[in-house]
Amino acid sequence: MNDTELDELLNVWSVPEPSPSIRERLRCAFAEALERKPIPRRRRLLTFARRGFLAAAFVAAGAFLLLVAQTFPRTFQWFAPAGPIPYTVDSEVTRFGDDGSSKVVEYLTSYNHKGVEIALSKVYPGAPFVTFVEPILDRLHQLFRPSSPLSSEQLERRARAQLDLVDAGCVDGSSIGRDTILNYAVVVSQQRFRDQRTTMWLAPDLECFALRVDLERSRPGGAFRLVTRRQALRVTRNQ
Amino acid sequence: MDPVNAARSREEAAFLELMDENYLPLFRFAYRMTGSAEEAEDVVQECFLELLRPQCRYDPRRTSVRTYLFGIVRNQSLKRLRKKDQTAPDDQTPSHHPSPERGLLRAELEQAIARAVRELPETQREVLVLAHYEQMPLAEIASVLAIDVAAVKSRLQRARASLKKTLAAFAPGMERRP
Repeated sequence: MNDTELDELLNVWSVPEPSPSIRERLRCAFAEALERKPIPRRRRLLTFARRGFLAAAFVAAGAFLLLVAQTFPRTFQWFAPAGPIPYTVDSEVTRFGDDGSSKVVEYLTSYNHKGVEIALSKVYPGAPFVTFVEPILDRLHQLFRPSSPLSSEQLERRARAQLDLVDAGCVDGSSIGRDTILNYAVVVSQQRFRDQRTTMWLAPDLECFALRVDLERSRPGGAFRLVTRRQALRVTRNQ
Repeated sequence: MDPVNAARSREEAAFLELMDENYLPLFRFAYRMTGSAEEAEDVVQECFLELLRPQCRYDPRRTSVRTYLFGIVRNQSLKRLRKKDQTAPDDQTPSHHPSPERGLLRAELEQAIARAVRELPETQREVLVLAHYEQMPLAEIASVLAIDVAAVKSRLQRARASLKKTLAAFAPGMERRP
């Protein structure tokens, strides 16, 4: 193929006509562009200063929240014992979908005290912002409203029931069997409420801490489907 | 006052005049670079509005407005090309032809040429389109692309050599290969 033949071939490729409205569109765009008047220099400086002030305010607020979170670790936990923490349990929470999929949605470190679980840390995989913000909000909430949402009577009743359960080796009317998790003997207890069934593996040596919890929901046929499972990964003794 | 400064001074007539003089070649260039009429229109619109922005660096002492506008269209087209999927739509090629059979053959040929040009490396494609389709002098192409004239010549030669190979099947007297 020579140059002339190539030129002739290339000339076959035509271009469609631009839409007739392009001129009108450009005219409108021109008018719009003119409506956005340039900001006068003085106002620009003010805008810049205002933005700077806002940025500084955000940084200061962030620093304050971080300081609050770091300065008051566990100080305001409603039920925290005065003495050392006897043990901690690292657990993971997995959610199961209808399609059989599963996803770890939370890692937490906690322990039981007088029948109430005290969470020391929580991590939400894939949600670093929530992980960062939640303890700060928690501390702030405790700072400005340090009283427990439960009445003292409720707390006492709960503590008494938990102590009774601990004394009974975690066995009560709902117990259905025994098992072992992470070398800890556990009592399996099961309760049903409406369409939900909760099964807990309670460790007598850990003040009846639940080393595993399965939450199931009943299906129309009567079978249960696992919705959420909380499973202990490690137990750390501090005494 | 040059038309760009007039347009910047809110003279709509000057802006429209500038547009009327330039938008067709700019549209053709954008179309051949992007392969889409809609995108080409957007690119051209963006190109003219660029002139009105305070941060626009157009300087009439350094370059002509046409060269500057082609430079913007080129940059905008390349930006869009890199964003969108590499599979360029071939259905954009118009087919207004007298008889259906002839029309089909012509459309097929157009598509083959369009595809061959679009398959060239960007650096060769832009030079070929400006030189062949816009009949732009090599020195001006060099100015639009901010390269020297020797590089323009070399890219153009490579583009043409490559097209000769790709389109060999469509050369007069050659039987079409499937």
